Amino acid sequence: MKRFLTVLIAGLFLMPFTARAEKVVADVSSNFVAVTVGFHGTKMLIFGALKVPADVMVIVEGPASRAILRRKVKTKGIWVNSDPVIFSPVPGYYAIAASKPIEAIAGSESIGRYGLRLSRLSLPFEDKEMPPEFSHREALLNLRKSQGLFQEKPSGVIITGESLFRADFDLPATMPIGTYVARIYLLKDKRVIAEQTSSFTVAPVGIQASIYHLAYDRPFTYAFMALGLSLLLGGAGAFVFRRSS
Amino acid sequence: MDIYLPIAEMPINVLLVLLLGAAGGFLSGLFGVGGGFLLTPLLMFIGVPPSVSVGTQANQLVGTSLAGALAHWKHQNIDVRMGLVMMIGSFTGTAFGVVLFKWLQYIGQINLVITIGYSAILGFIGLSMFVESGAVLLRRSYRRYFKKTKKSGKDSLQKDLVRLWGSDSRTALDFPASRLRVSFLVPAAIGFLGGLMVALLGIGGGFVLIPAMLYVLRMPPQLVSGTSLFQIIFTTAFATILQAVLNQSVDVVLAMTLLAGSVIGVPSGTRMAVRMKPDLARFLLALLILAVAIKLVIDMAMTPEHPFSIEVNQLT
Repeated sequence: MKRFLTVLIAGLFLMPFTARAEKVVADVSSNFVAVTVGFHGTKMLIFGALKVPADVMVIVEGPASRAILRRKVKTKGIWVNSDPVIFSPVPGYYAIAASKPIEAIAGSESIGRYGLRLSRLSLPFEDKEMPPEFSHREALLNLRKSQGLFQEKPSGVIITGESLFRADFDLPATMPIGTYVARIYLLKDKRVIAEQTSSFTVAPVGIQASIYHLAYDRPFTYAFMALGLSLLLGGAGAFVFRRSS
Repeated sequence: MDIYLPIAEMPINVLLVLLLGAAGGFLSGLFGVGGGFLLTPLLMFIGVPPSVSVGTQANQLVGTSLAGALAHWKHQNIDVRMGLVMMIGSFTGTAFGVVLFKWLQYIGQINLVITIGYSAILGFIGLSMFVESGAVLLRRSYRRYFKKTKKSGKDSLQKDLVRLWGSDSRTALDFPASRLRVSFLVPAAIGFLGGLMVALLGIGGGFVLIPAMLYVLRMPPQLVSGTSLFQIIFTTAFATILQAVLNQSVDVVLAMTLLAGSVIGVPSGTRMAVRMKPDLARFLLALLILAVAIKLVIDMAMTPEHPFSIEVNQLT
């Protein structure tokens, strides 16, 4: 109770200050993306209001992953994968949207620090002794771009009436399951003057969720269910074959 | 119409998968092979990860082989004792194969091993079937061919057991249904190969097991398919459990869609099989198998469109 009161009083004191400090309020159109049986990707809207005139950039970042890149080399007449280069952590989804061409509104230092361009994205690699060739990094970016999991849209943020902004993001069906963070940056004179974050979750629901969780949490039950279904359908099939022949 | 596959974590066109399943079912109805040799590469071609393709195929094959075995069971064309002995080997082969698969995936060579494995097996089987059935078709020596099979039928009617490798050793076993006495290590070794193929390539291995049972074990021809299918039910069931528990690579939605397609496809295959001359059917199957093998070899030798491949695993 005492702790609750302290928090409450502290909150009351802090509130006016934070409210004044906020140069932007923003939110995501949905906090939850349901992966259903018919799921084929979705759109996410990030919107908000500016308290001061500024340029806006929005970044949506998906759960971290480990990416293994392999280059095919010709050995004895056939193409074989060579030694892998492992990047980790790599965002499972990374989309950048800006209200104007990025180089025009963000300085080099800000781009590097906040990851405002795909080409400047920090992509650590696992084997520190053997730095990857530039081509591996390029290939990683290009492959992810072609899968729609990395995006860069210099006119993706639309500002209306100098105070309202919105940015639409395409989330492909192959997007990883997990928590996504949306970061909203206000820029002035090529520098970030304010930022806000928001998040949403992508998770399977309904029968999809049951199957997914059963497979990972109770693999034995899942295996026997899969076997049972297969035997049932196969047995029914045998009945059908016999009647038709 | 797309459905989202919960384990492969990707959407897939239901009609396409049903069609694939039906094509596999048609092949098994027409030729009596599983059709897995077409399905697994095709699944990978449409973007299903190799591990999920192979794991899911194992699950699908449980149902397909049960349906096939039930028909043989009715005609008592199964040597259960032989099937059980083969399973000693096939279970070992499956377990070994699943571990090998995981290791190959780790070192990044699983696609290569699958491709080489397929082209070697399909090339060999396709070529020998092509030569054999082509020769029969060309010479039109149906009568001679018929006589030959009749003679071997007489052999199997003899009361004495045919004695094969190791029939005097301590590992020897009698197989009354097949009328032979052989070291149990021989059928177990054949089973081992079958299990390895289920775990690594996602095929039941019928078209390797059947020739081996015919020419190595000299089993009576009418018992061969039934016994092979009987054994494949349990081997694929074991593979399904291992793949689901160790690799989480069994997608039950994909497996059931394929199986449903296969149930639709089998009757049209069997109907066609009745009308078609067996040698012509074998010749056509040989052409199909050879075509797949040649395509795989060309793909390995051609400069890839994308020199880089990527594998992404979520960090937890």
